[in-house]
Amino acid sequence: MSSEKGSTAWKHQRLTAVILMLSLLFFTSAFFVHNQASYPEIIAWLRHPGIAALFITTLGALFYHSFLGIKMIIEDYVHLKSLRQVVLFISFIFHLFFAILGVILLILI
Amino acid sequence: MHSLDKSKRPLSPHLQVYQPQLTSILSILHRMTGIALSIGAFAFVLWLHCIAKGEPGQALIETISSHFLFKMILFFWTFSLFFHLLNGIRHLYWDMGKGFELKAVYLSGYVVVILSIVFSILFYGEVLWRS
Repeated sequence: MSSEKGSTAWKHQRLTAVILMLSLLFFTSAFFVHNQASYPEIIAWLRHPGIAALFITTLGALFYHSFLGIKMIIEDYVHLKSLRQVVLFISFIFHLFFAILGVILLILI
Repeated sequence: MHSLDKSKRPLSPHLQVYQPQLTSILSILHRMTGIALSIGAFAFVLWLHCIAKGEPGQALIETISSHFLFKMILFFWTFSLFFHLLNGIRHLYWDMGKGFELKAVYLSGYVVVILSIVFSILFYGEVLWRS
């Protein structure tokens, strides 16, 4: 049971890593190209549906990848079971909240 | 044995008794940069929040980003991004069962360190320092 859970997390960690690698390559090169862009220009760029879709995908992959990574570290270093569960829960809520907030902000922009 | 407090027993990974080597340092650095990038991801959403707020939010960004301390943190974030990205590629390569010879592990380790320093100086100098 638990070994199956672990291997799913392992796969998801790698899958999100590949997604992030490609999208970060895109966004960092966009940073180079639109280096001198003003705020209205950045916002107009973010409103483009293709960019917005890629951005939301990246945000989802980023926070999921981050959640899985932080979870692994917590499981390695927080040895007390009850404390570990509390810390894991807090981390989960934080990641979920910021991922949703990021997506909402992008839609509102 | 039952009187021993379970939570006080040493558990792996034992960082405090481990002889540091390039391999172990990079492994720990991968986790540390990962934590830094997680914090960076939260900060990024807050940055987005400020942009969405219009003038006052954007003024706040200007104030924070012109601070010397923030510039240092931003440089560390840039380094973290490139290191975690490149070392992540190294990990994916290992996941395919390749590059496990001791020589290859050290070589890829040095390549990752050098490239991430070069990339972060270039990216920070070209893009972030100016804005």
